[in-house]
Amino acid sequence: MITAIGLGTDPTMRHFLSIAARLGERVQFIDLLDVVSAPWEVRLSPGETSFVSALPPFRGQSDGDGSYYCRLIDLGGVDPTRRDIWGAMIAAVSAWLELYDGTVVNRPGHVNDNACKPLHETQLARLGFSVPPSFTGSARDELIAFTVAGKTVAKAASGQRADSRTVTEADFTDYREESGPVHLQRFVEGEDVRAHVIGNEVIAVRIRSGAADYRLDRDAHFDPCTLPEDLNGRFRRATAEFGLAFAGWDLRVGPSDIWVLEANPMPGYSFYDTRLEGRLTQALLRHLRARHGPGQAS
Amino acid sequence: MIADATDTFVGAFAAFAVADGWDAERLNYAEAAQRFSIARNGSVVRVTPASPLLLRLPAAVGAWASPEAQFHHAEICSVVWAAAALTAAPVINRPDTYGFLSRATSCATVLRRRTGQRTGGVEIYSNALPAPPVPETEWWAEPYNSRSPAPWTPQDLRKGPFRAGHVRPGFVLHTVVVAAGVAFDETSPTDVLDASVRVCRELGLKFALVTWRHYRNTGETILVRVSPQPTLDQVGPYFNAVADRLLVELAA
Repeated sequence: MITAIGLGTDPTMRHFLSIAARLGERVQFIDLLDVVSAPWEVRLSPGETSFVSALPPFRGQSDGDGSYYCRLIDLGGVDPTRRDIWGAMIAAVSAWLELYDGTVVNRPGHVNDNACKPLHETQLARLGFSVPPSFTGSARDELIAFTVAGKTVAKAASGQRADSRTVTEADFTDYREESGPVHLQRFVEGEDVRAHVIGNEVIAVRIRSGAADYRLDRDAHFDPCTLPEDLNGRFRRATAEFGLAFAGWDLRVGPSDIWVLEANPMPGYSFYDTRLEGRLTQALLRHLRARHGPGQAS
Repeated sequence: MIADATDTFVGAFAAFAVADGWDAERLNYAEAAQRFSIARNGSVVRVTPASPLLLRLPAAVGAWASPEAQFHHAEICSVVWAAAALTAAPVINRPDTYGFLSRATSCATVLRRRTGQRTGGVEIYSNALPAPPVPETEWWAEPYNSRSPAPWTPQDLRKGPFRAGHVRPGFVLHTVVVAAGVAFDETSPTDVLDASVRVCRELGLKFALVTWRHYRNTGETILVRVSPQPTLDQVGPYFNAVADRLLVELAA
């Protein structure tokens, strides 16, 4: 049995459940919005753990007989009266899934530096990937100096907001340093490619768009593509090294190089899957049907 | 030193450092984020200024903070995380790709798994106070995030959610301060001190408070908790030795 744990309001989770149902795969869904509103309990003891919720009625045990696809989103930030309950529940379910004997995508306890872009980009570069230069800071003069040296994109350092946009010196005219810090990255010319690593599979799609952020471009065009196998191998190894079974790699393919922008540990993959006719969900289901215990990311 | 204004350990440490001849500056997270710049080209990164850092954990954003304030807080924390992780200067409790806590966690069962320690008693998380399946006297409970365990009682009036668990009687509690590879607790046996240092190394922590339950009759020692932010009270009589040890590490 495959169990999905997440939010019913999450478009990616709804997409997964919809495609799975269409493919005839039986998936049980645990909506955290329901769990948090009713009694729940996570019990951790040597050799035996369990997660029990009243809403929906669910009992997950530690015997590893079943797989889990989880997108654990903590709504405590937008539900302040229940912030502690959300925090406790997410922490408890995360602990249970980390200790679970069977397949979990993605098992909690993995590398988390995607929430810290300057560190994440450095780690990607240290793994040997080409990563566009970046500058992070609050000082106006330094931000302008980086910006005028080449076409520049501003991104959220924490990854909390996914939008990125090109910036010029003019964007810093009214900038106040106390509103910083700002994370800037050099824009590199080329085509956007998104590669999803799911276990041993790599499924890539090329995106043609004139916008700095193709996700905001309604005229963007999507084509499945194949990346060099040695690069696929590097993505698979890096994904596993991060403790992940499923990651979304954002790339920019230039005339002479393939640039890596980030590896997303909880990819909102539905946007791409609808353009790939469900291939990503099919690969995810294949991985979930196989047994991968702790220590085996893929 | 990057810390909340209310952090009394940092206040005392700053005074100790100045008395020892250091230039010591105390910044909160917003001030620190304003101060740092991180320039990266390929895998070569330069963090400016490159000052030795004593890093404490960021305070949570207010529960009722606006989305914009929450976002700004996240950006500030992210930049301090990156700067402290990437700086070439010495850092006490350098964050890494796992986060500010590195591999430390408040969940005892996961903590033991991650550090290869002996398993302990059952640990339960629940939105309501769990009812103990063992004699009540062997059961403890604490409101989540409070770090205030107390003997279980059915009349517990504290607000949930709760973390609770079972503890076998007959133990002695050992609390060890670890500072840059040196353990401090006069009452702990040598093997507990050594284990405390090993656990901190395993978790990537240079400064922490490590709590154990030790059963004399069986010789078992069970890891209870690792706090990466020891308070001034918790460091207690070892403050001077701890501060001295931390300064040696920061001077390296």
